[in-house]
Amino acid sequence: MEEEPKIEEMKNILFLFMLGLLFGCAKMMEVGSDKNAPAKNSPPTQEAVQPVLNQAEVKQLENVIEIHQKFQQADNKDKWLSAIHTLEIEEVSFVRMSAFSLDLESNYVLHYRIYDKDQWGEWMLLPESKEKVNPNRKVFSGLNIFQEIQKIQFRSSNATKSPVVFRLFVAHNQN
Amino acid sequence: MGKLRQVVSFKLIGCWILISCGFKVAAQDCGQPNFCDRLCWSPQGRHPAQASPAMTNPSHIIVHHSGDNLVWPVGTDFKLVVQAYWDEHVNTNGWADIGYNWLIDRNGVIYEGRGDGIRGAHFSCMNQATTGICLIGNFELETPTATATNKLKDLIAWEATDKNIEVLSGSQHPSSQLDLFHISGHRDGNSSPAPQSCASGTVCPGENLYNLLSSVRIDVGNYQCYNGNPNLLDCDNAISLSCGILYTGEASSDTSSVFSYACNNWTETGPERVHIITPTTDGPLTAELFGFTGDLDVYILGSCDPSDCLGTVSSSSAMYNEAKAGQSYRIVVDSDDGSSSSYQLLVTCSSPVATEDIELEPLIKLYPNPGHDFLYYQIPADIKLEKIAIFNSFGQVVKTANPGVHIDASQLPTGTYIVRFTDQFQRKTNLKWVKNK
Repeated sequence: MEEEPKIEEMKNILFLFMLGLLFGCAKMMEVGSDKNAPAKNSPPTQEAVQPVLNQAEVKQLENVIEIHQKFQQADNKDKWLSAIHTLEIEEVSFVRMSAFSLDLESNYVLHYRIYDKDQWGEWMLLPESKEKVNPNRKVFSGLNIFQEIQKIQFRSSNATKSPVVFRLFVAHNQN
Repeated sequence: MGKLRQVVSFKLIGCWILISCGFKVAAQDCGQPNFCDRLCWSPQGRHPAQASPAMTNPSHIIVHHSGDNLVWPVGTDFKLVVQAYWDEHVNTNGWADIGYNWLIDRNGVIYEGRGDGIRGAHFSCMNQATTGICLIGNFELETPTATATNKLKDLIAWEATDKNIEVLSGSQHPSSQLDLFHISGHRDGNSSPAPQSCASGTVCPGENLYNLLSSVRIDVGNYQCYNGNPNLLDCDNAISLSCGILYTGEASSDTSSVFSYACNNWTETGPERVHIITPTTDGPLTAELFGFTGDLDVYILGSCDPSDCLGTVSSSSAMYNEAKAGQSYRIVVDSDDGSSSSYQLLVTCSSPVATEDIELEPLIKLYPNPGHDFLYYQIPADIKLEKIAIFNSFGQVVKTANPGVHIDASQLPTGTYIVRFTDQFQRKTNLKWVKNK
């Protein structure tokens, strides 16, 4: 009779051990994804996108990084739809970020925040252009960023029917 | 050259008087100022012009600011900035080219946008018969530099004489269906009833630039090349001065051109050296000569005309109390006895950075003031400073510093500065500081 509790206790310990093992593996995978981040100043890749809720296509163009971001699924916590991109933009004069979408119907607000010096900055609004600069596009005005960008996170207040194209013009230092 | 132009004399600037009061013959077109063309700002050819641009004959010159969210820091490469605007206009907005016809940076460099006579994309979907000039910056946050403002005037003077645009008056702009000054700001299109208008209450070109437009019109109207009046003084080679910055120069050794000024009662017999200054705020303007030998006199002129002498003169100093922001003043050093002495000239203007909310004052003390290489400050214990920036008299940031015991100002030239403190709640205070030799 006294053994019974011991067996139960062993089972519990084994269960907790297995749970811990699984958790540890998950953590290692998460760290591993950071290791897969692109080398500094190299083109960002699809692998850099996390989490997988809202997928994106990242294009490295001449002086410009284009992120075609789909906002389809809300985060569980706060109902925002978001995605993080590892960019490692450093030693630049400035970055000018603008965005557009061909989705003229959906109502949504865009925010971004920047991860730099190992911490996230405040959420900032990416304002929609006041003037209708193009009848076929919803355009978000250009903003200048004067800091290095390890990662950037975008979030939308609602799902969009077509991707929002975030465009980061990267002005490299000439020195 | 020698075009007949209708010139409406606007004595009441700001009022709408669309009646022609006189006719003048322009002596010549004002020359096109030097500019950085597309190959200059995009040497790799990655920012091409549109293949088949629509042409237009501008009747109105629309002034813009770029309206950036932050002030461009010291040392910005504005060629990259123009590239960034092109990229945004073409690839984000989906336009055929950069929207503006011309851009001007705060150092006075003019950049070719769409260029001359091409219809732009800048005036709230009402671009026909306009040309768009953009001063780079956000003039809700900062004040345009005198150098940039002067280049704007030069560019307008050329456009105006080349396209027969009367700078002091206005007329109906068909696309917007609005009566507009021929030199207008983007925001002037906000009230357009035109069906194609896409105006939505823009503040462009920013309050601080918009308020200068009346001075810009007057100054361009005073250009010799614009109005055909010959100048006695050599204003084309006027030396640019900065408010509060000591200038060292040599008196002219040429022959005398001007024998009398409207604000003195003696005869000048010596040669003149002309300087130009453009204050960025309304208020008193003083000019004072130091360190010279012989008989040098100084005058403040409202234009290049000696009869337009302003304020009071007391030989080596002059004062004019009602200087207007954005208007250029000529400071003339007249060597009455013909001696070509060296001299130092200090022109002081009203403090330029006065529009910022002053919320921390008088909690912060700055000392010594006037000071020299290091300045110190005293703050209450409950205030945590986040940043410190020093602005010159043009409102340009010349130094930023992290909060510490003192600020090293040893690299700054002598002059008057504004030191802006920002605390953890983004409250700001601006304190005037004078650096002595």
